[in-house]
Amino acid sequence: MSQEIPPISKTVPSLDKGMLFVRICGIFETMVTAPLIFVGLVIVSLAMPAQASLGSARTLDLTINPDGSTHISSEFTVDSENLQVDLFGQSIDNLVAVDDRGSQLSGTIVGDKAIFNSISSSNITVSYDIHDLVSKQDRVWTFLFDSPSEYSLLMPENSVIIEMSVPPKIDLVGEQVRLELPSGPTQINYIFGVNTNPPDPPEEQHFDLTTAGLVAGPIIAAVIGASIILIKRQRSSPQPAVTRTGASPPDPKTIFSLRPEMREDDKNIVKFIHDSGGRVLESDLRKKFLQPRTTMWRAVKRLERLGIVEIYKKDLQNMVKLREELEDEN
Amino acid sequence: MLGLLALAGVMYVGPTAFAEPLEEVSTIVSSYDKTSASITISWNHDDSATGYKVGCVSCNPNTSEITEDISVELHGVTPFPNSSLAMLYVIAYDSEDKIIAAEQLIISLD
Repeated sequence: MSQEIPPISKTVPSLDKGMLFVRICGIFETMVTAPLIFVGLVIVSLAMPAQASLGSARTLDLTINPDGSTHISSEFTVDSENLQVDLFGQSIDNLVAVDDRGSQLSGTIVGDKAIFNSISSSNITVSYDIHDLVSKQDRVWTFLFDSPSEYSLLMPENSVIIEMSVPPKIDLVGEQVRLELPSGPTQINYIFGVNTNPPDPPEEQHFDLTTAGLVAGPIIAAVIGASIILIKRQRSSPQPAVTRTGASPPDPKTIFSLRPEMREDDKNIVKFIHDSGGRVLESDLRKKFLQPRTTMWRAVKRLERLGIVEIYKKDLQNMVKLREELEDEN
Repeated sequence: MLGLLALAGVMYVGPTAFAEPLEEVSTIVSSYDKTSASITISWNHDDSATGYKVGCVSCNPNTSEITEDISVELHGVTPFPNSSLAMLYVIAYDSEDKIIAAEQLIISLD
């Protein structure tokens, strides 16, 4: 009963004081942030002309190659002497820029940008191969791309799309599927079908000696001829030394005997390089063996560590060359 | 040399190549109401294939079904936006669950 009820007037003045304090803080924050916003706007306005002087992409066309690399072609409208292009990754091959007269432009890659100078044309087409957009796990290939604009995507021949994150427009180019995709992230999973239109078998098989002779005759003649040439060569040429010092690289057999620890798939790479004249582009190896860039790069580096190949740059591409001298590790 | 001759003979009189898995795939659009369709997909039997996966990638979200039969009926198949084309696929698996064949099917629902 004797409990004191605080008068309302006791709390009201403190509220007024608080509100007054808040108002002062708001003014103070406004005084601090307003100049910052103004400075920010000035910086943005200064940056705008620089961005506008860069090329704006009019078209963007992507083609996925069977080896998982992606060919990118883009047309730019340029209003200055320089063109700076944002590349969609850092593992770039075959970068080419041509103007509308077909003249090739010189350029440099800095990080994930390509810079082209001394441009005298307003329309430039930039194309390159990139290895960052497609990955592979088991038999499933995954295309993952966050595009700044609408683009077209041509899928590899004989590929089977099994998952798409965005339903696109679709078109058929021969036997290949072309998708028109919107800007933003896209994921497409695909595999390769193994049916490649096998030829129709004959309805009935006939076997007679005349036809068999026609088939087997040339084969026999070729085998006999090859045997004679082989025997003659073996007699006329000395046996190859285990360690080669000549101008040509050692043959695969010699390499395998000197490097018995080599993996079977690496041996196939060595055979292919040898059969291709002793040197081959890394991109050709990927196309031949249908391997992603990282897998093939690891294989090539393994061979380099074993002293079997050397790797050097040629026209912005990796050239893999069989070493002419192979040291015996034993 | 004799080996080569034998090989040539085998190549010539060897057995006829039979149909591969998913070599013969056929589709029937049983109904389509401009929104979604029901499609029956059937394919040739193959001893090496023990299971099949059939899916729709033009559907949003993508759908798929697994079967051991040589035909399946898909319901609720939708075409691409502003189009009457639907994109499906069939994958054949062997007993070790490895893909042995795959086919893309692009079907006009009209």
